[in-house]
Amino acid sequence: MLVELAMLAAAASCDINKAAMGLCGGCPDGSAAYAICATEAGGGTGSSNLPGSSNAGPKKPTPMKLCNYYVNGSIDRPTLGIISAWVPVGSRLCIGDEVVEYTPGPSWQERIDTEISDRFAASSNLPVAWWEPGDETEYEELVRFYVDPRNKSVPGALLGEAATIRFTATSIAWNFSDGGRGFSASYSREFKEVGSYKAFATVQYRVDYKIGLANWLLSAATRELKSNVLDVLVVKYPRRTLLVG
Amino acid sequence: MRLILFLSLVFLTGCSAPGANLHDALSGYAQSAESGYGFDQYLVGEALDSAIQTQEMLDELGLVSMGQAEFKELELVGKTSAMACMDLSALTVVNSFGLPADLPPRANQLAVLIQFQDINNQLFISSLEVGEAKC
Repeated sequence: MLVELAMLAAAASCDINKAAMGLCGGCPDGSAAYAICATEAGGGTGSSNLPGSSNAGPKKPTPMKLCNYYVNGSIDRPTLGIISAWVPVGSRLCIGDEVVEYTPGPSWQERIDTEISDRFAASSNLPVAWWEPGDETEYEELVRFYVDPRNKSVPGALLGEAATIRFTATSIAWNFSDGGRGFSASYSREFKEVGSYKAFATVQYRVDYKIGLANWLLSAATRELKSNVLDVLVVKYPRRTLLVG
Repeated sequence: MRLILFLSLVFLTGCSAPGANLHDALSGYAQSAESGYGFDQYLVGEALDSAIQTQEMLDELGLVSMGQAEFKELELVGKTSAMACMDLSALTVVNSFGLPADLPPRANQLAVLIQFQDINNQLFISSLEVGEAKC
């Protein structure tokens, strides 16, 4: 699916949502809090006995040379006649060529430089908030607000090695539409006035990652996420006076 | 002297107006990108096609864009073009479960080149190109 998205993103103009989906521009060079980008540079050797297997540069005209060889095709079993012909250099042995005993193995070597890039990305969960009793409450009653940060650990792989990105909540802040604030996963408060209020929690996450057997790299990034918004209806229940006579 | 001063004031006003209007257009566009409609009030041409196409893509994939992009450091670089820093830090794309969508990573702040057009005294964004550079 992402391949299709990336192809669509190749359209000339970009836009906000396409950029938000990471479909504009190039690799963010690891700037995203929840991604690890890595590049591994290395070298190796390869060999080939085939002339012209190197693909360096544009094709050049084949060099030719005047070659003499015996009628039987050899240069070491003389015949009465000798053939003189223009042949591509290196295509055959000619009389007078220095003969080197064949030894198996690469006649030439080329160095292959490689650069492998890989990227491992993960997203955190959104924090989920709720309150009790829920629905509505009476004014001056104690109301309890909860938020579950839903810490997450995402296993994956980077450059062939096991990798893990984890999101750990480090701080929680409650924001209420009446200006009230709270700072714990389970926060209690009361409302002095009847009315409709809104509340949400902001959770700050620390992002750590680990590659292979190496230790955790702690606090690689931080990320702040808002929970769902809660509607709190504060009412006053009617009281009846019971007369006992 | 008064004439020179007057002309200078006119010139300065003329310079500052496109920047202010463009900022309004970009803010309106950011609101449209969040709500998913009303693009044609701020965009034309290629930019409008791209925004509609992306919105269709989001709808098809069941994804929702939450929060608004912010355009900062707006700087006119020509009569019909400007550079800005697009801040996406308040913008999250979530799936139908409300969880952040599994998408390629992206930078939170991106340099953008904006092309715009004046149509009936209103500036419309005609192209938005995101550069490789962060800002």
